Amino acid sequence: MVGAVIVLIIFFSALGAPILAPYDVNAQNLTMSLQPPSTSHLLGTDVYGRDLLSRLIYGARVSLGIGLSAAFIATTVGVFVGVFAGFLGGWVDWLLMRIVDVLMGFPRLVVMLLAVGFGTPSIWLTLTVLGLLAWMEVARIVRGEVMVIREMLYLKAAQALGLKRSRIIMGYILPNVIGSVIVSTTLLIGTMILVEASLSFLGLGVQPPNASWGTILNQGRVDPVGAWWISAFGGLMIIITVVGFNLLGDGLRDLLDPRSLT
Amino acid sequence: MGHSQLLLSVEDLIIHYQSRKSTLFTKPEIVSAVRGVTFSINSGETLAIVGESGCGKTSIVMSILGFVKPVSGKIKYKGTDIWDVTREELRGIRRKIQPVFQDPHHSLNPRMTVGQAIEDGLWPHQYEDMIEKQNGVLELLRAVRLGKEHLNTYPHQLSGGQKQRVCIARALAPNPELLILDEPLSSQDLSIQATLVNLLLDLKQKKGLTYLFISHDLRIVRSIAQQVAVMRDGILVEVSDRDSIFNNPQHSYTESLLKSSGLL
Amino acid sequence: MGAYTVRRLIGAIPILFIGLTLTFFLVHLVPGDPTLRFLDPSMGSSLKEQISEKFGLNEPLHIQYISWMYRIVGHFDFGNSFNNGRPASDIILDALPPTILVMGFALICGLMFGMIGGIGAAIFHGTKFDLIITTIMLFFYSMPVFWLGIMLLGFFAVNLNWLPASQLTSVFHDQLNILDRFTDYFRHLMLPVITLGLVSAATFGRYLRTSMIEAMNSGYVLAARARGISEWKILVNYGLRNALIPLITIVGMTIPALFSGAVIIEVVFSLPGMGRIMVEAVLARDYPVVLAASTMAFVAVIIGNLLADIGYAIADPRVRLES
Ligand SMILES: Nc1ncnc2c1ncn2[C@@H]1O[C@H](COP(=O)(O)OP(=O)(O)OP(=O)(O)O)[C@@H](O)[C@H]1O
Ligand SMILES: [Mg+2]
Repeated sequence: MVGAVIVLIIFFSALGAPILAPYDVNAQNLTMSLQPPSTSHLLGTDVYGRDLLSRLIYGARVSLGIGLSAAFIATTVGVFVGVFAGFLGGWVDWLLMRIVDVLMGFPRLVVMLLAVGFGTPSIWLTLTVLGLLAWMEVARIVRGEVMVIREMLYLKAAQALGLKRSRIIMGYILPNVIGSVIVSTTLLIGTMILVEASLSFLGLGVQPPNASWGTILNQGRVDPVGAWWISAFGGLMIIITVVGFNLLGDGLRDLLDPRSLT
Repeated sequence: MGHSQLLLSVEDLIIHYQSRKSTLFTKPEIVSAVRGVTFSINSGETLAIVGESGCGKTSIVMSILGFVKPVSGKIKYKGTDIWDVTREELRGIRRKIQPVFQDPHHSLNPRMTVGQAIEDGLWPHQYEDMIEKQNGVLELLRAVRLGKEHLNTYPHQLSGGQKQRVCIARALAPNPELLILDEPLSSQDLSIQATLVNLLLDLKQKKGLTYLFISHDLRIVRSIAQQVAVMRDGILVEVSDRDSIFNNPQHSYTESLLKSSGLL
Repeated sequence: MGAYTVRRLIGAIPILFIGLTLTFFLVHLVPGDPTLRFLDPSMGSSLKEQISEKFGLNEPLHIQYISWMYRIVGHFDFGNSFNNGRPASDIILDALPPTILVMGFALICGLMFGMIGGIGAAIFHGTKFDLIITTIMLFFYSMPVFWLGIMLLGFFAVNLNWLPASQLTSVFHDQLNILDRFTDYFRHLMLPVITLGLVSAATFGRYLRTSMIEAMNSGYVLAARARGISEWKILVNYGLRNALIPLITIVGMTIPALFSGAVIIEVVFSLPGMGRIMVEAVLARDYPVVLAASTMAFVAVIIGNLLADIGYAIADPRVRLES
């Protein structure tokens, strides 16, 4: 699986950033400002003469960290809401699903702008807002599956055994939705990385001196043509990573497809 | 054993389904699946309900199990109306009434081993330690003539007949008084049907169980039931003991059913 | 049909209401003080209070909410900008056309490319061609929209100098004749539209490919093959039909994303649209404009979804029977 390989490589370079990065991330050297790629600076330097490759490797920590945590938050909330709505049904389900409709109807970037823009931008605010505003898709998927499982005979049998709701949810419902949850979480990580990049690009996400890939792209705006390498390599980094997560998600979907499990 | 003690009584049961959700602009479309059904089962007896597909048999079962709320009518278990109790009380009653469904492939949680599935039916506090619980599971497996080797298998590794045995074992786990068997054999081969009938008869005798046996196969009904109710289009057209039904049918529909299965 | 439309319209009202409410509280509950940007902390609190009062920020939140809702529903009045005092609704209405143009053309462009890519890949399923198209679509699907914008801008506008890099019109726009004005708009919109179009094409194309392949492998297509119906007819009658009708829903669902894309594209290409207004207003904590803009965005999305649903109902009469 290509996706898994890409994701692992990015993941380990983020972990091993201090070893892998050829230069100190924050070491400024104004005499070396905006140098094009060369043998000493493989991917060139930024306005402050900082090595772009090192910054991208360190940026992986921030971008990946935000992507993973936001996806984790979104998944947790989404599974919770989905199980709740699907299992209880009735007006609880109706209300929760209308909220989901509304939140899904909002352009995501707009809601993020509202939430992040009015607070003080920071890594923590970014990842919390991202996570808390991205759970709807997961909730919908989980709810749909729970509604199907709720009608399954094995669930009727479990209820007839007089099992507690908590046991039914933990033993019968969650294990049967976990496959599609894993798939949507994986795909969500990619999306979260993209949204974070957009926010940071607009100057509303991660703030300097912390650098995510979006922040680096924002700095590339000073001279997108003259200093093409900043935008080009920053963007490529994002694309490769998101492609990795998308491939991994699609691969996992084929692997965990309930139709292949009888 | 309290002889001919009334265990379950169903009075004037009416069940509707809404096939379409009602909105501001559309009226719900109503399917009346059960239209006034009355019967009762004494403890230790087997009552069979026979009728063709779609006549409302499963609907009655789901209502007795507390899954489908009837429009009207009463379902009393040992005199208690199961639709008029608290959630906690219902849980207690449910454990005494256990179902075995027609389709064993969808009756077992695909993510649980046979052992785990059966274990869930034992009260958590009924068996204090793990070993005792394990023995409880093994005993149930033996009761349905499965072995230790099936303990850690998943449902998809079992044959249809084996799955149905696991379902029976799970149903027996909470020590029920009444077993509701909703066409438990109709998805099985003939040879397996015969062994399962024997197993059910055997279990009934050993454990003093009461059966509500749903079927559309009159031959099996004849070999297992004492009382027979013939159902058609949501109503019972004839309820009687086995011998009168098979030897002296009163209703023309009963007669035609017997004819079509070559028993008359 | 009419009854269906009315039913959908009425169904949209509670959604709109919940949406407006959520927007209002989201904006007001996130920490951040809109008066701060007019003030130096040293200027003392009496001036701060004056400003708060002028903008109605000293009322309890629920009062602010009720009067805000009342003014919107009753008078289409979103209040005046904190920044320049213009009615927020005017600011938004001025900014709407460029955004709608970009979104509309991008949608058309995305559907065109998406259909070519998706259907092509499905027809040649399993070949090298399919692999190439699928890979390209995956890349565009995984790409930050703004990044593609920067790259296209850098290459076509700056390096090659073929197309303008920013704004909706040139400086001499007013002196041009009608035809040249039209061309002028076209040249300015070209890059933003292509950027957004390519990215949405990836979404549509990926969806079309999957659902066509699924349809072509389904039982009834196998049956049709067995009856000796030509492969071409099968493709058109079964594959395309089954993929294109749900595409209407996918388009409806993509509208919020398209809007997000337009917002950021407008920033990249300095277009005077909703996106830029919104980003500026957020940075300036200009509540009335932000609220007006997000309300309009939300209404636009609801209308888009409504149109998609109605389109779906026309294309597939079965949905009208179900609820
Ligand atoms: N959930 C439901 N919603 C709507 N209609 C239903 C539902 N369940 C059953 N019905 C309808 O109620 C009627 C009785 O169904 P039921 O399942 O009780 O029949 P049955 O006698 O068990 O049939 P079978 O022998 O096929 O199992 C049928 O017409 C069926 O279509
Ligand atoms: Mg049935």
